[in-house]
Amino acid sequence: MHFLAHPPKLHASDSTGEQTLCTTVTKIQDISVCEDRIDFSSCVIWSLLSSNFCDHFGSLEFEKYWGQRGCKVIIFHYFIFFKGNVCNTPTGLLPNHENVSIIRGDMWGEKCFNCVYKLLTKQITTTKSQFYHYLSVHF
Amino acid sequence: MDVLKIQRRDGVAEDFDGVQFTILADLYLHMKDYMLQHVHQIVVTMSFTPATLVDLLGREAEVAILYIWWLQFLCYFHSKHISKLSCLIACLEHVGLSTAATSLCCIRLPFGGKIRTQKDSSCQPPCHTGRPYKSTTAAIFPHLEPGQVESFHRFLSPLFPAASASNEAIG
Repeated sequence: MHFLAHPPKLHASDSTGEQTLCTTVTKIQDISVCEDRIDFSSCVIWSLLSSNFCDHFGSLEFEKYWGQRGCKVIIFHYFIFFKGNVCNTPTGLLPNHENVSIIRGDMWGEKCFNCVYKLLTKQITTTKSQFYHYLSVHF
Repeated sequence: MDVLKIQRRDGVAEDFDGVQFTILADLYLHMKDYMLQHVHQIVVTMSFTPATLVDLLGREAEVAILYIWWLQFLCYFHSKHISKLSCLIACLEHVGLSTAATSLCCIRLPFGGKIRTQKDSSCQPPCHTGRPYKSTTAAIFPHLEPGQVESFHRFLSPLFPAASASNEAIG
């Protein structure tokens, strides 16, 4: 399944409830994204990845592309913690890609298979506190 | 958030293909409201194969209910204008899961039994040779919202006539 809808539809932005077809679809790494309502001045993308080995996160073609387009891309990478599972790409900003950053999580670390929702919740809390801090400093 | 992308790695072996189901089900259970409010678009490539749909650790019932949850989650996402009751059925039509539905008919959802797939892709009409699902789901049902159990039955009934025949055992 490569798209949530065939054909890709957009919900009505007003109260009419009428759906319209997406006009601009960009396909990277076999994954389609509808660009119609993306504001590239404030675009945020979250990418969830899971792998056995820390360095097996793949080419990150999708993430790098949208990072170059101006989106802030956060990769939530889950892998299995064990001795010798070394991360050659450290957590934080991806080298040469200032808009792409990596946050890592421990599969089974929360006593469940992949509690990515816990990591996301933490990220939301962090983002909110940063936002409020920004407000308190600037306003 | 504009886009939530799940899995899909290139250049390495896809050792966790199928984790998409778990993640989507988790998001549905724990973050549905946030997701519906803040995420504009979910992009995900999912493969419907025995390797991704069958749990090898003996958690078949959980896998089955996960299936319902992620499907429901995507359905909420795409079909806000559709009533919850008909959501799952409409989901199959609106979300473009016709291919998935075809393969689903070859998969037993035997709560309490084992999930098995058939290699025969021309599975018409739906397979219903599996043993009917049992009360093991009853313990999971309380987590579902009102109306979803009925949606669940309606979703299953055309695919698994044998299963739907024993629905009455599950309150």
